[in-house]
Amino acid sequence: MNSSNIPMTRAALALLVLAGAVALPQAQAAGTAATTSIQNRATISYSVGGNAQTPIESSPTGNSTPGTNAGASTVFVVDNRVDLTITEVAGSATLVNPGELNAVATYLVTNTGNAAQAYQLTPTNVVGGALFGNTDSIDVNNLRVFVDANNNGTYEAATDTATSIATLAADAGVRVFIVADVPVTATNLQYASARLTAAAAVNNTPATLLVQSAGADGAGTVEIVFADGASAGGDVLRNGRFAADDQYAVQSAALTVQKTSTVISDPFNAASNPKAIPGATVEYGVTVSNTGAVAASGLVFADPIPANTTFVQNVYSSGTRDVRLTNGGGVDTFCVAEAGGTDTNADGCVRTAGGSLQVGTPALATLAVSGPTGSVTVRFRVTIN
Amino acid sequence: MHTGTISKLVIGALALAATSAAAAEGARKGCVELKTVAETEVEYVDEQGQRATKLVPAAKVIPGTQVVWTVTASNVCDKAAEKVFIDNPIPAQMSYVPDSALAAGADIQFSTDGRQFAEPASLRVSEADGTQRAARSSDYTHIRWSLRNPIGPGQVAVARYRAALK
Repeated sequence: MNSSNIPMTRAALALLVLAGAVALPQAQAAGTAATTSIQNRATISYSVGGNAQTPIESSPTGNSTPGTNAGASTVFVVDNRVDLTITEVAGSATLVNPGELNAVATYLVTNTGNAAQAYQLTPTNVVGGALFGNTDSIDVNNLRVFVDANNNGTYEAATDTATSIATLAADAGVRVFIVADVPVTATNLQYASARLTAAAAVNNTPATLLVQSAGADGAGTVEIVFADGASAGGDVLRNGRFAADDQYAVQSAALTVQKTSTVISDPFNAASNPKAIPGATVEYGVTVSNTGAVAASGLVFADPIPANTTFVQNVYSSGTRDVRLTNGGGVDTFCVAEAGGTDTNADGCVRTAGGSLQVGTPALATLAVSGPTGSVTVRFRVTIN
Repeated sequence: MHTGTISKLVIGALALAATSAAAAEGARKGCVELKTVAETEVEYVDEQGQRATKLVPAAKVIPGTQVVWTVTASNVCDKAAEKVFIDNPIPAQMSYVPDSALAAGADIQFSTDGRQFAEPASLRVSEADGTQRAARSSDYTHIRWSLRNPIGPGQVAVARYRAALK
């Protein structure tokens, strides 16, 4: 553009080209959108007998009429590349308790194809295999699947009610939850892997699965081409489906109980090498420890007072309390175990009508996973009849 | 300037079109018939059981698919067509496949703007920050085949390239 006699048309063309460059459709990660019409038209410039001729444009079948727009573009329509991925969101197992209801595992379904698509969603229990280094050993119950309607990553029963994805734009992703119940019988360090499978369906019609187009292509028809990869559970490539696994890790308290008895005194030897003869006083010590992964709460300790023995009151805390509780750190607390089954002073200790010593809240409420508060020793005394 | 001349010719045609596009229908035929077809390569097993490929009319095209564009110029008059240039804009949604442009007896040039055509080695593009770098094949927007020899009466010239759908 350094000449002063440039025709206006040339400047105008430059502007056109510039505008075209700005307006160029940006290819998405998923590629050119399905249904896009791709047009191409070549131009031939030539001379005959030294005279430049009017350029001729091409057409799909051949054009020999000179001049702009005398030709026609050769056109094809971009077909529907169906592709999707699912990833497990947390990168770790969902921690659950035995008997937990509506435990949530979160997945991200991404449309990596070039058209908006619907997806059917199926939750299944995985049998065997390892995930996050944990071998699947149990199944969860009542598997359900819900789409994260507001895409906030949190399962909300009132909001997240859709069980399939009605429409997901190309390149877009949406979170999906598997919601399941953990068996009451599950124990600490058992694992349940859960698989989410999504199958591509007609956009806005999730009930109708996509079928890959067979046979030859029509240049003007949008055909369906499955381009998805293989994934979890033997899912093969190019079937319009994808699957991914997440896991529930059961964390439970595991209690161990150890009971000892010591003869404190007998009527003849008193406290010096006492023997377990009638009239002797015996102290029982029951140690409860939590060796599980989570704190145990709502503990109720019950120990039948042995036959042919009589519970001894007021032997601890300067002769004012019946039961001594010592935690793993050596800290003592005491309580009164009233006879008759009524805990009149509400300290958590009582003797039931059936003759058991029962210790519960508040004297004994929780056991931590480990450390000083992870174990407790309950001591009480009886005399041999 | 060589390329400038061509641009002016094309612009001349554009200007003409603005006034006489409607009249083109009944216009006198030119000396060359130009045809563009889109094809894709598919693999098949031949009679000997060997794997082979063939071109079929633009089969299923999804992002990543390579399309073979073939431009055929047939001389349909009784005089030779000389100084032949075939220009083809690469569709905006497609990316030129490196080294795929062919034509027997033609010099091939590329453009990144539809105006300046050059050999790949001397094509440069401006970055957003104003710096210049060598053009990559993905920058090409147009291809020009300059035929070294005239297309004689009854003769056919074929130009071809591949482009991948973005």
